[in-house]
Amino acid sequence: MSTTTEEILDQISTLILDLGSLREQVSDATDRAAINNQITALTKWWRKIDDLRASEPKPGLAEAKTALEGIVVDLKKEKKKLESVAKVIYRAAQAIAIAEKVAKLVV
Amino acid sequence: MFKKEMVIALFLIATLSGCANLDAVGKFADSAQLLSSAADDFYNTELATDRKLAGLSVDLASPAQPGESAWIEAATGKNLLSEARRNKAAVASLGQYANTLKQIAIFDNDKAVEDSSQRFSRNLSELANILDSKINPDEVALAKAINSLASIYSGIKVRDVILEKTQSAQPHVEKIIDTLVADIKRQQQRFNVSRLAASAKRETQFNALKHDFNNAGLIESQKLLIETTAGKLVEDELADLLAEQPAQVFLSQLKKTAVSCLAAHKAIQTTGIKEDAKELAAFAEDARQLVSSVRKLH
Repeated sequence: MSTTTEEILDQISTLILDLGSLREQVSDATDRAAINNQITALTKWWRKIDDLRASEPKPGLAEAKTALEGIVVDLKKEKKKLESVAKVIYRAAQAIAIAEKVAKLVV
Repeated sequence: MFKKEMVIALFLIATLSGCANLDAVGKFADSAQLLSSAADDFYNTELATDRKLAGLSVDLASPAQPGESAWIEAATGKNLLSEARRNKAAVASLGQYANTLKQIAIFDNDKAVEDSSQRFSRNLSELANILDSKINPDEVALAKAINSLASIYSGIKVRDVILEKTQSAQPHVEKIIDTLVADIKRQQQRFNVSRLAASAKRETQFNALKHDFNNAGLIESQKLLIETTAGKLVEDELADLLAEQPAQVFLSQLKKTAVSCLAAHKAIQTTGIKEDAKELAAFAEDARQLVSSVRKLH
């Protein structure tokens, strides 16, 4: 089944909001700064894709959606019980790379 | 003699159920007008938030994409314009549809009904023209729904056809309302992520100010300025937190009202439906609450 930019936007916004919830569980300034950086970067790509969005399916987005869904599941687990901020940062970095690829694909 | 009485009785039943239907159509139209004006009011109010949050998302430190002007990247708004055009067209076509249904329900001469339908048809065609079909497939789909609605109501000469017309209109009304809700939902999603990014940025700025305040060997007046700026960041953070809640309440009420609007539109297609039918009462209540939730934003 083909994927739309709308679906990608939903996944990325879930990730951004989950990062926000995770940030609230962290009080260390360095950890919070690292999460803030990921939120800012991911939001930048969300806005970029939002500007190009359409409800029509676009080829090549299915793989990105699946990868983002995996990250969403992982962050949801961390949201329930935060074990590793480093893992959160790493998974967010992967999401940022995917979002960048999507933005370039839909231009 | 018996046959004549039967004919009169059947005529009376048909007339009474027709009246009941028209009252129900009128009741639906009142609530649909509330839905249209609340959605219009909300979207326009929130456009100011959109601009503010876009301003907060500016990040001069981020590297520009190779071969792309940083300004174009920062100030892009193609889809925002498309979304605003769609919202304007969806809200106006719903409002005009409600207005025409109301007139059909209350006018008791066929000429007035014919004039009203023709006016509606013309206005809708003009609305469809404001949508830019070259830019966005969602605009194409909405323009198609608006044009289809216009052609259903063009050439109506008597109000007795209202049931048949509302039946044909159902998929197009659904498309218009779905578009309206989807765009407001996406607008709110944009606000949620942008608010969070703005909050992240404020925290970074606050920490930078605190660092300089303690380490830069500043004179007292410079320290005061820094402290004032830090205080403004805290003020903005709290204002954003407070602004989020009523918008979320409106969005959830809008989704509920859209569902009850479509159920009520389906219900008015039933012969003999009365204005106190449960679908119409539910829609009226939802529309009233929607108006009340939009007032809380001001």
